[in-house]
Amino acid sequence: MANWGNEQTEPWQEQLLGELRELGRAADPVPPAVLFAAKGSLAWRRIDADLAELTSDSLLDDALAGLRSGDVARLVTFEAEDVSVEMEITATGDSRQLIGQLIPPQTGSVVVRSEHGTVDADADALGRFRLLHLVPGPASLRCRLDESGRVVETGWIVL
Amino acid sequence: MAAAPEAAAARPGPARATSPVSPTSNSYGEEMDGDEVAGWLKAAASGDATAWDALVGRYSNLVWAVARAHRLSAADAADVSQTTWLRLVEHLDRIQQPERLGAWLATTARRESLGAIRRGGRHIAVGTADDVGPGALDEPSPDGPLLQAEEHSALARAFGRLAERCQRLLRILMTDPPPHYEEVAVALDMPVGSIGPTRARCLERLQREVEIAGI
Repeated sequence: MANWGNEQTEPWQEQLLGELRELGRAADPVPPAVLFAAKGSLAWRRIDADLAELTSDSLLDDALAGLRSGDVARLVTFEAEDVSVEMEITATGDSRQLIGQLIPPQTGSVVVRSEHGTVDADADALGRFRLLHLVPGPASLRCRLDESGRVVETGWIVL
Repeated sequence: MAAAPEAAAARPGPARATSPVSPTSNSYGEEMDGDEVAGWLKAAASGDATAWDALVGRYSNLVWAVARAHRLSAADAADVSQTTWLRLVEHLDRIQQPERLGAWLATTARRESLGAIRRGGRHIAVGTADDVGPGALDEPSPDGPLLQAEEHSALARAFGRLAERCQRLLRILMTDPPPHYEEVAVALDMPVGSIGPTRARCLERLQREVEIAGI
């Protein structure tokens, strides 16, 4: 392991950092609800499903960086082996809408999971599905593709 | 399975002299114990809630600090925290280097923090060192600054007078337990080698502010 040089840590620096640490503990600790939610995250671990990772999110595209987020729909793509899920996410005030497609196109079912519960929809023969009135916040879709029998869960994103 | 502390105990008092540092050590020269974390990861992947709680206990302050260092509101920081931990749940069985889990979490938290800023619709110069520079931060978060001192203590006020770069760095360095250099580097997109000198400069400036305020 490379040494990055010796550091002189002077007593007054130690003291000041210690005071800052105490201040941080008092003034901006991790809120109990956040800690509770973090601990509860394990319940979302995947069982009998493959992970479809986020491979593209138009929100993060340089070309669109100058546009206000409300002006264009957000396009996201998740990919697992041989399966992908594409979606368009739009916002109307505090509500989110999701129009998506299972690829390869086929019927199936989609369940949006979040801390608010689940919302489900069927995918038509072209793999298309639509979900309305979703609540903003972290969400993941569990998708079942009928033809292949595959079940994937998308990585969590913030709607 | 050893129960993990909910929050690390206070650092021992006496000052330290020179200590060799590396990316995987903190400023006290302490190296990360990868074996313990590897054990927790493995157990958590099988659904062991105690092991998972140990991981959360060890790193939740760091994840929170990264979000707050990016000037996110408490609500946005909560989302960053949640998606970061969920990202770990997704990858529980594929963390290659357990001894660098902190850096993995810090990287993830930074990415999520940048996403939160994007979703806020602010205009940022992408891909530059100014991604979270003054241009994106000139509007104070409605939930308050990096430190929401209820009584606006003098130290918090002195902290608030520091340059943005110092506030960000110190917000990460103040984490309990003290972060490893690599964690700091990826949290703030800083070269590891610049952390020590910047830390010294920022502490000097804070000390000066403290003295000026007559604390």
